[in-house]
Amino acid sequence: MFMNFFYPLLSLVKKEFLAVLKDKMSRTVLIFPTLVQAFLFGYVATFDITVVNYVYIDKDHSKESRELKSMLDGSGFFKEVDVEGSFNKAQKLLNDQEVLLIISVDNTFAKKIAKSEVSQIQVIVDGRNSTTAATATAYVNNIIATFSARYAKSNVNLDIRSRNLYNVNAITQWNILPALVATLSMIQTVMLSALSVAREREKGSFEQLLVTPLSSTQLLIGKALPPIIVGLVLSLVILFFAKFWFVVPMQGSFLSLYIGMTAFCISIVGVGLSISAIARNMQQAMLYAFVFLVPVVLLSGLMSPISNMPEAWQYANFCNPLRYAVDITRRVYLEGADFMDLMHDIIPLLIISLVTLPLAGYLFRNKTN
Amino acid sequence: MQSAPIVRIEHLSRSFIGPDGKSFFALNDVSLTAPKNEITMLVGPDGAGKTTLLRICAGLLGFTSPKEAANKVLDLDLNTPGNLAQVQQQISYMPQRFGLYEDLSVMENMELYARLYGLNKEEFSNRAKELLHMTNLTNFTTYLAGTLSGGMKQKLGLACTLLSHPKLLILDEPCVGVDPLSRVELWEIIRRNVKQDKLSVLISTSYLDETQYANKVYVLNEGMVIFADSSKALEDMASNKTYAISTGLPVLPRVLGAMLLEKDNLVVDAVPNKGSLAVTLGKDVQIDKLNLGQDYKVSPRVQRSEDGFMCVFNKLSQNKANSDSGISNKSIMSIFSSEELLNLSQGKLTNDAFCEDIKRESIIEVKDLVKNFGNFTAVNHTSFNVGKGEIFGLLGPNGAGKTTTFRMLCGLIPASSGILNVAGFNLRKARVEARKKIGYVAQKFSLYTDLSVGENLDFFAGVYGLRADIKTKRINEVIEQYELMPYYNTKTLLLPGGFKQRLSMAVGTIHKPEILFLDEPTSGIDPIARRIFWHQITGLAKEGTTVIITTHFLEEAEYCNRIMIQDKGEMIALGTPDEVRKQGMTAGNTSEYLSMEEVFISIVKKFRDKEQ
Amino acid sequence: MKEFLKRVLALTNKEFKQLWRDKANIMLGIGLPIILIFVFGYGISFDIRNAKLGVIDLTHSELSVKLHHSINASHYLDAIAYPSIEAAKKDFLLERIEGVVVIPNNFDAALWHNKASIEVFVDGKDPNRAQALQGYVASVISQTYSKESIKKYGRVPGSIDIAYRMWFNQAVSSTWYIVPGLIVLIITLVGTFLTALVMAREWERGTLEAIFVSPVKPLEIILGKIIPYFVVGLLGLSICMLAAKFLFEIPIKGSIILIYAFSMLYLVIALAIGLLISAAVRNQYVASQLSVATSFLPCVMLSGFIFDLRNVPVIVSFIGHLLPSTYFMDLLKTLYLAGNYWPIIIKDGLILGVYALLLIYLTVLKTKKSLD
Repeated sequence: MFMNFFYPLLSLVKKEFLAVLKDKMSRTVLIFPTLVQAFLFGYVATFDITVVNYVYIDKDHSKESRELKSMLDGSGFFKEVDVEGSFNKAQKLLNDQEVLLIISVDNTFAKKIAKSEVSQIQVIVDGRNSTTAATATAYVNNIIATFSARYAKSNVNLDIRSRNLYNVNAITQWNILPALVATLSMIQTVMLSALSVAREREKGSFEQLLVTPLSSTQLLIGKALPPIIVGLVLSLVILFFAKFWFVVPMQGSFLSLYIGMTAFCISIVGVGLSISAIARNMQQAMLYAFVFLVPVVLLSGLMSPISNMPEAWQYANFCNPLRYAVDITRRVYLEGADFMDLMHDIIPLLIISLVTLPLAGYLFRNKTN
Repeated sequence: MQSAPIVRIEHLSRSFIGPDGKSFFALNDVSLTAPKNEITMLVGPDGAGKTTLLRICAGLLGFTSPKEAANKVLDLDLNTPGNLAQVQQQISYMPQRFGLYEDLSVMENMELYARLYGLNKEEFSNRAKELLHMTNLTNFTTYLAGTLSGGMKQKLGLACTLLSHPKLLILDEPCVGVDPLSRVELWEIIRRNVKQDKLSVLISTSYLDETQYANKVYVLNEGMVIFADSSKALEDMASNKTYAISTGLPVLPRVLGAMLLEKDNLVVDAVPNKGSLAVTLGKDVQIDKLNLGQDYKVSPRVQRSEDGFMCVFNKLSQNKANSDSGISNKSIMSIFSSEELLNLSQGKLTNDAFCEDIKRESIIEVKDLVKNFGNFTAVNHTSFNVGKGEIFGLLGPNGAGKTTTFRMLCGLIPASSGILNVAGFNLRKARVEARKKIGYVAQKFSLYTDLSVGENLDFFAGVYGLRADIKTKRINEVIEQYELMPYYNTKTLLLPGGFKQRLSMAVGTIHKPEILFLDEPTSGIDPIARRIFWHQITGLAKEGTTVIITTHFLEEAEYCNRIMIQDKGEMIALGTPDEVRKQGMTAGNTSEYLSMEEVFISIVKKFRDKEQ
Repeated sequence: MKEFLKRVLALTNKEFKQLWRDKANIMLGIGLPIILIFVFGYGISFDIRNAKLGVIDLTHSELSVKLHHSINASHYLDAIAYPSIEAAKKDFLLERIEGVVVIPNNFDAALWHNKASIEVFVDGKDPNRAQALQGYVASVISQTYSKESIKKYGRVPGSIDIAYRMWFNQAVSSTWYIVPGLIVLIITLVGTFLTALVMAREWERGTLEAIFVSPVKPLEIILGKIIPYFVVGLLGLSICMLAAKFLFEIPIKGSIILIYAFSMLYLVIALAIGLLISAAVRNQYVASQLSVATSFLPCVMLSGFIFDLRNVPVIVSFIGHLLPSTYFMDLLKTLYLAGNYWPIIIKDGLILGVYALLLIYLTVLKTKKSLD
């Protein structure tokens, strides 16, 4: 009995793999974009600033104002562009996006410092990209704070000691890459499962499959397993990429990461197969998958934190499988979370699977005939 | 003084890069002339280069030819730049799959073509009226093209191409998948336009009986013209070689035919026809050489173009020792033992499966079967049984309900009501169990094209639950049976057309099904491949497999033990070919033996008249 | 000429009818822009609002309570009180709070006599957010502290006040630069993805074969495809512009006419890329994969839509600068946020113009009436 169920299933799984991996084109489409995306995202998806060009307008010409400039230049982040004190020139450079900041110091700067009065520095920032602007502002803040600590005389002192936990060196890649493990493998898993039935239907082979004695349960499992395995293998590839190319250290255990990823893959394959069962052709399947993937990726917390979203979105996000997976990968990578710590992510994923897989099964039975 | 021909092709060649990366000649030194106001026809097996030639004439493909050769359409040289636009202004082309926009209505499709050809409103409305009337589509103008039946689509396509009063009409197999009634209508339209509108036609077809309409026939094979003359001349290729053998015994004509085909090069062709067996003898073979028993009655018969076509190919395969074109012993698998062959030729019957009137137990029981799609009744209270080991044919015009019936029988769609037992299982309750007993060969090739032949076989054997030694044994058996060994590791996509058909059969029979379902397996297949296919089916039936088959080639109904004809969801005829033939006889038709096509048309017409 | 117009009109008419009947196309053309507007406009924000911080007050003095209140009062931050570090740590691990502020024992005494320290821990998984959080906490603390010291001593210890002026984005809202970027994304999607799909479908279904053998010229076939999807693209563009104005209240500094003009130019580029892809591969599946890979993803990743191209390695930035979408993104953000600043308009406009001409030329070249 067991063999009668298991053996045809095994044949189906084997065939699904052959169909995906034998064709050079679909093999390429499977692996290549994932690697390119991991590579590009790894480099591009950064809000860190490497170099900020700025204009320094010094009306004070004092020792202090020169000292501030040399501190800015010495930070390694800031690079001055000389405009010979012309504000008009500076403004043009800012408009052209040649510089991001204009820092100007008025002629009372040194005097006020000496008198322990509040002296003012004006900073003009190009806000077209508010994230870059905010980061650059933070750097300026830090440097001026150090400067003021050195010059301002004060009999009392308050020291604010800040520490980053988990990502001590504050590298954005450490934040993005672990999340990519889940995101990129999801894109391929959903695409693959969404196309699996749609492609067979378009090529006519689905009918041939339907007249075989495979039951709909066998069909569902046989169609679900290969995308799950492909998803897990791809996540392994990206994981190695993160580990050896971008050298992101992994704190937690490989096993707990993989248990989490398996729960995740099961939950999204249900969605992909449901799409496949409804779609009449490949074009529709691609389209539905696209419409599903875009919001899921964007709202997952991959790029911007979920806590920033409006409340309604945060509630809606409880059904988003990727937000749990992103959380799992980040926590295993950066916090070293173990299996028990991940339960509050894994349980929702299992609940999602309990909805999506039976849905796919239902649609298989009712839409495939 | 004869005017210049409408198409003149001289020493034209064209090569392509095949899917295996090698270059091959689709056309090799072809010359052809199509006179004005005549019908010029191309016939030949798949891959002979017919479509390529038509596309070149329509200006869609480039070609090579010697400098001094003239390749002209409408007396305009195809190689002169700028001429193509002038040519395309005056001709129309209907590709094999005509590009109707399925989400546009009949009228919108016609409007689009009218405007592309620059017809004004008045011209269009007059011409459209005329063509809609001609194609019987007047009542369907608001229907979306996608919802039309196969025959109606082709008629609409033809109407679109005729809108602009073209001087030359190029048609690529317009009758594939079209039922006999619509086929007659299509040809009426074409011939009427040739007569009234001075139209010239260049057409390809796989129905050889259509050569009767052609003024000139070109037979192509492997990119070369192997015959070019009138259709009469094609028929005469078989003169004095054609005989009808009536069995006189309870032996099925198809069995006798299969036996004769297995005998060394004695016959070129042997097909059941009009209740007897139509035989075409090989070159220099006399009829007495067949050594038939006395019970068989042999009489000469009038040769047909199909006989001539087979002779042309036979000659070719004799000239080229290693060629596998045409029917040769190599491509006919052996289904009889030598003892059986001897017994059969003497008229001694050793196997019940060779005979007609035997009592058979039912393997398929259908009672009061109904299928509704919304308000539309596709199949209406139909009842019939199929006996074990029968070849059972489902016939009917496009949209008659035969595909729906067929799909219900193999469990692809559920019935709305009625009893449906297949191989002892109620299809409503035990669909999975029933599926173990059936095999299925779809109309369109429907195996996995990315996988190799071996991988396809392995997969299907696996899902049918074959394991270990049994699996290996069955795979080896079908590979041998369908001679697939040379292609074992070939990607299915790259298989030649005939071998795709064989692989489909191998997959459909890998689990030794009790019942084999075949959905228009011969649609669009050339006559030679069809002979080979029916030989295989005869072999399966001999082993006791029940075969359910749908087809548009009505002469193939003669291979069946029994046939059923449906129209508009109703069963209008059921019985052996001879019984149905009697039903089709009308007062006006006195000739004793009608062809199956004539029978079919008369029965359907009678039914439709009664309906109205 | 009259014939030419007639045929283009016939093809355009047909395309509109098909577009209207295929619900999937309508979904992509109009539904997806609306989804994207909501997801990007509301769902994505890189700005910090009401981040939850745990505050552990071990002193309970007047000053420490004030500090606690002022953290809570800041619209960037929310303060949640915890009795002990352990309790806060538990919630921190569960990501209920993003950071912890510890005000130590004897804080007041230490402050007025020697050096006092406040410890701030933040979740560093997202470094930018961490840095910003630290900045907000520090500024809230030092402001409160200055106020208190004025009360106590009547003067402020010498300090430097930084007067920031954010140009072009006074609200410092990421929505301001995301929504204009969305216009680029939607035009790319409609122009390239949808057009590549519908054209590849014509190749695949063989509908082009019969049309080829008619007096139609390649340019007419191309125009018959471009015009309808041009209109759909403009529709998507207008939806975005209206959403930007009324939903997100983003000011338009530059001229609306220029925005429309350059959007049309870019739309032509996107359409030409779509037609080129479909003419090259003639297969829906590959065409859709290619158009996502060559236009949609780069548009999201490499054009400066979300990630600033000034911050990436040279090679990646170089690839980004090969894409027309990068220049259109630059142009559109300038027109939206900075105004009619001609040097950028002329530079980017010229580059886009060259792309448009080149791509149309290639498309006409590639769309031959031939099956070769």
